[in-house]
Amino acid sequence: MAVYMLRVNGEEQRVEVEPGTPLLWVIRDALGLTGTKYGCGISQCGACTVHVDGRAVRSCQMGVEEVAGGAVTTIEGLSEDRSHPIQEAWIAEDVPQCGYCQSGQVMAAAALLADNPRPTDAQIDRSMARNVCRCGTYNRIRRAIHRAARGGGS
Amino acid sequence: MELRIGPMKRGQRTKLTGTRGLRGAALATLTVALAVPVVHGQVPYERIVGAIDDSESWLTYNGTYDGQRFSPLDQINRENVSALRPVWMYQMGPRVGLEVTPIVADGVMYVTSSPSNVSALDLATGRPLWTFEPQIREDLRTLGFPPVNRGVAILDDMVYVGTLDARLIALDARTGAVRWERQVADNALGFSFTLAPLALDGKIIVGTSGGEAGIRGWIDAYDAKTGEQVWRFWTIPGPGEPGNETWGGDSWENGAGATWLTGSYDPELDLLYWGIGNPGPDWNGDVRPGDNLYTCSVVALDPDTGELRWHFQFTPHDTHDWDANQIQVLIDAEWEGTPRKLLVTANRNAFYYVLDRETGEFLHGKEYGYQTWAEGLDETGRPIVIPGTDPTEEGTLVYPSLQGSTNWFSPSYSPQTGLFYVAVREMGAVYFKGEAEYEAGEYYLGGGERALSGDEAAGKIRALDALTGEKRWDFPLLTPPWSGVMATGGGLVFGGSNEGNLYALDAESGEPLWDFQAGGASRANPITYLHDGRQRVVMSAGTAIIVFGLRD
Repeated sequence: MAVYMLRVNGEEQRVEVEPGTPLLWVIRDALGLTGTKYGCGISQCGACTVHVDGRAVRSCQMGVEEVAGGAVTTIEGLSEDRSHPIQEAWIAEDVPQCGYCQSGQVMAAAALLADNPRPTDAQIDRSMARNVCRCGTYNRIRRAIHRAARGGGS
Repeated sequence: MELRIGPMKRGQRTKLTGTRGLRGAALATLTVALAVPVVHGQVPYERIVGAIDDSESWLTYNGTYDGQRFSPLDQINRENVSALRPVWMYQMGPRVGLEVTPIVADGVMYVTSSPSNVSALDLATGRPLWTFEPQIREDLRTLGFPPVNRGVAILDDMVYVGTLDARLIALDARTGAVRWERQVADNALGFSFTLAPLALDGKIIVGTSGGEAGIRGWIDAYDAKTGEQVWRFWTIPGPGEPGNETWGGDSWENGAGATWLTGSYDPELDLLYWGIGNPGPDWNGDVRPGDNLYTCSVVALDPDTGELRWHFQFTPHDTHDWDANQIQVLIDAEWEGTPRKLLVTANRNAFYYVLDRETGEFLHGKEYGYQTWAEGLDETGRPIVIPGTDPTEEGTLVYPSLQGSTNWFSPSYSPQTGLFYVAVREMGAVYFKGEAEYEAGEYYLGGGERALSGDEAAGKIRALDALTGEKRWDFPLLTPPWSGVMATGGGLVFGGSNEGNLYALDAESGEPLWDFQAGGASRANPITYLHDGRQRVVMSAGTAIIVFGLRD
């Protein structure tokens, strides 16, 4: 076991885990933030997407050492009251079906908009392609991103 | 086997999708289809009559006029079904669950979604070819049912949709353009369409929702080409008509008798069979003394005139909201040594019935779901009601609940196994009686119901011997289902659960052979067809249509 200092959702956290523990398990098991999901465990599905220093990363394949000193944002920290434009658009478009992939989708979409405030369909598809939704809600994901990009409203 | 048909069909289809022509249909059907004049479109009536052999299509709500929801296709079967996986899926849109049965013809799948939208999808990919979104009035009245749509009918080159605000609309099958539109009834009074219309020879048959709004129900026929009304059958007889004496006073005026689920048809007998809903008010029978014909009945009508040929009432003077809006399944079988044309149905009131469909004669009935309201049926099929099972002001616990032992979702009959498959709800309810005063366009209930839930409610797919109603097997479900079944020539029964599991069962034993967690409740009926020579099975879950197939 080793001790690491992380900044998660704006708070300094001291965690004691085995070296090499994936960030996903630090978030879920050590910190109890279970909004971030385990999907494939091999960085292929995007369910575990969180932000590290504002960038969307796959937390299942990122060792705890790599984020020490960085700022981690999980779905719980995206906003205090589900008021992030992407969250509001997600609710307005009723995007999820089963919901399992959706925190990863939301985090990926939020990172996309931070980088590119008015993405085209093609840019959305390219950026979001690695976040897999088994329920096939891609059309609503795309609509919600456009909605958030234009500041809400239909 | 691949068959190409004449240049007429190919020419008609080029603009539509650019996919290949109609193939694989049975030779007999093709002969008929080619014999019709050029003015006919893609799906003439004769082709619907022969739908059982039209393997690349799903032409009516239940696949065939007989309501069996059985397909002889056997490419997907007991041996290989475990390898079934999605080919494509189509997310219909937000909020309201799907209860649609897709119609498939000539390389196109026609689906509907709430409120009354129609989409034509490329059968190969799910890509939308056109979408029709009618403007629905903002002060819409949907009293007693969710704002769903269960599908379109297809006839010749048009598809037909009933809207929540009680319009019947004919669309060009190729473009989605409106060919005609008719305001059938006044939605402000509670009339509404959720059902898939039924296309007969030159006519479109529809029935209305609104059984909780004190309507006077009807079954209507419209000219398929012009939208002109051909006839109307009132489900509640008026003064002077036989059956009106089964209504005390003027209670017939708001007697309900909604007709909100697609009927069945026998082309040889030329008889149309339709289930009629509960009497109004639902739970207070005091204001409507008598048997309340033709509520909670099946009626057999002459499709040319709407004239009543016979009726059979399952639940006289119903006080539990047990509409007879279930699928009437037409089967031909030997009955006590003689070949007979039968109508079999699993009613919402927990009994399974075998009737002679030429005469309406009651032949046999048997309890198929848990119930506490009747000791059984007498020799005429009339229930022997247990005293004290009517709703009261304090509440009366009765099984089944108002949704019944089954409901709108389709059962299936397999001629191969001789079994009738039905999704059964095991759920009781406390029924309350209250005041009932009719006010136009408002609920007319006369009470209420509190369903038992949690551990006390469950469900199953039950296989019955179609002639005796004896249980053959059960496949248990965690919660009371809201999703239909389909049996196939591959020895399978497909179905879905509230928990989002789509599954295939061995039709002989009920053993589960395949399942797929779809992430949303399954609330619709399965269909199947061949596409490019490969069998597809379509089920829905959540807001998605999912097309399944085997790996090539």
